Amino acid sequence: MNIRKLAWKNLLRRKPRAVFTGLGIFLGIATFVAISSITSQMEGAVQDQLDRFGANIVVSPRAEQLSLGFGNIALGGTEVAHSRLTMGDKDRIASIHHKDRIRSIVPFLMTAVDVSGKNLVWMGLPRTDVAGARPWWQIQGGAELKPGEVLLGAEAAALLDKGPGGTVTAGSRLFRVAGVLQPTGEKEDGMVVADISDVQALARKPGAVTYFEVAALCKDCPVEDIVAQIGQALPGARVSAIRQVVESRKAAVDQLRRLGLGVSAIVLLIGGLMVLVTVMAGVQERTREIGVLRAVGFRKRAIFSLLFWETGWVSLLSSLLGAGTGIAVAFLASPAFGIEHPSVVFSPALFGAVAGLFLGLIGAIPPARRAAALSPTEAIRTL
Amino acid sequence: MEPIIQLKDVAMLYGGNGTRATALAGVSFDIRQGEYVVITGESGAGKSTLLTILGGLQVPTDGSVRIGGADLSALPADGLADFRRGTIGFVFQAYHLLPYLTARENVMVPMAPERVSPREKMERADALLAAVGLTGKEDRLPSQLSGGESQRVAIARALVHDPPVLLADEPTGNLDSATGEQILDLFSSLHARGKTVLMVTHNPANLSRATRSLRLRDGLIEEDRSLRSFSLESVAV
Repeated sequence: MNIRKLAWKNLLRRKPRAVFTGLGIFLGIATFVAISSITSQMEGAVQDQLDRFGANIVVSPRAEQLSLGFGNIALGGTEVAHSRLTMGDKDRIASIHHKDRIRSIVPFLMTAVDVSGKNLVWMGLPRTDVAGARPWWQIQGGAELKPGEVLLGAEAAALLDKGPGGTVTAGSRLFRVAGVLQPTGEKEDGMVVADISDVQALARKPGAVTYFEVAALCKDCPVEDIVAQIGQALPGARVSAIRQVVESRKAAVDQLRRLGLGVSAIVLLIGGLMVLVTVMAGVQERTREIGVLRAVGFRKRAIFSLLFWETGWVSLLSSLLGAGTGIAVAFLASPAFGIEHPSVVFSPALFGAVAGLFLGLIGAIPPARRAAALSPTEAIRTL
Repeated sequence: MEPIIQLKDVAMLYGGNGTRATALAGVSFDIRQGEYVVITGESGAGKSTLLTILGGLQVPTDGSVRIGGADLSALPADGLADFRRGTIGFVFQAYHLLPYLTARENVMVPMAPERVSPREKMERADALLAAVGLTGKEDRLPSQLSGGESQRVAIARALVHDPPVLLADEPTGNLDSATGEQILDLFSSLHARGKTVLMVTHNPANLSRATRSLRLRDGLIEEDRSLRSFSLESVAV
């Protein structure tokens, strides 16, 4: 028999009260852990989606806008490129210091070529990269682009009156229409998509590249550093990070996290108050018992310790249970938040368990002090 | 030899302005080690107040109390707790066992804050339960014990630290006469083994076992009577 065991025995005797005392902490920790786990996984999911939805860095030739005019007559402007990109630049991009962070480098060539008598823009990219570079494309017909095949944007297909299986001519070559893109609302609706080597041949620009799309794995990575390193590798190129998508998604996750933390804080505060109130009421009920303990020689510190251990047991158990429940809830609810591969995140659970124990013990201090300060005379009068 | 208990002009007033009640109005007496003192008196005479003062549970508003050489009014709260643990064994009329603990665990309660091995605590508790005749009932809850057995557990609990002084407040008050006699026999055997016993009681039959009686009335000692000859040598100290 020691103070810990005495506290534990008393808890077992008053199970409903113990459950009620721990309920606040349990709910608070479960809420905190569930929300933290979900938001934490959502951050990962944002990055996954960003990677999946293509590049976050664009490399294009550095160009300057020149305004043309004669007297007071404006003749519009033109862009003057300092240098041109080539397929060889892909290797230079792939050789930067943070090359291990680069998931893909996709060269694009844009050019205007007559197709079956219509002047259309061609988008050339390695045919094997189509699915990776434009995962959101929905293609009617064959999704896989083979040599000598093209994909038609929805408007281009309508203009040419062609569908999957049809053929178009460009230059002196015949191309088979492998598929037609569902409308995207973007410029590619009016384009013809083909393997970059075919487009280079049509444009008579072997090895030419209009721009590169680079996908860097940038969760917690220095995108600015990668941009700078590519800029150093290609001095004549303009390297830009596509930040707005990342930032807007992260802002949404941050807001959700703040909301979750706010809710958790309120629930935890209520839990702490529940501990305080129930333990305080318990002290009131146990005046006689405390009197007996004082009569048999318990010091104030021993009474304080007894109350502290009782609350400690409740807080520990309810925190662990709350953390476990929070993990389970987060795991089960993750798909509803767009997390396709839920995982168990232990750090919020660990933090939650410690925080719950701490909160419970903090809530137990005032009633434990009150019990310890209870005059033996006052306690003994009830005997 | 210096008395084990010395009270000098002990007064105890309760309440505040206008509602003051005198529980003790200046009580003085000495008790030698090994005495068996019965304290009697009408309700409100100050018996229980005297017992709580002797037990270090409250400090008198006036006068001095020395027990075992310690001036209780000079001790801090923790000092009083240590004094109670080492010097005093309390036995209450209503036993006041903790209902969720077994007989053995109830006896072990005073040892709970101590850094003693569980085995040693258990052995000491079992020995005390055996001494009060409860062998075989160590694992029973208070609800599974009779009144007399519960009081025996309470006495065993009071003896855990082998205190020289036992304070009992109507220890037979809740028991039938036969069981009460058994409990008084137990007190007599403890007295015979050298314990100083102070027992508050309404029952005149208890006087036959005591060496001395103190009768209180209106907070004062009305009668201090030696009941039978007493010498320190007559008890095994």
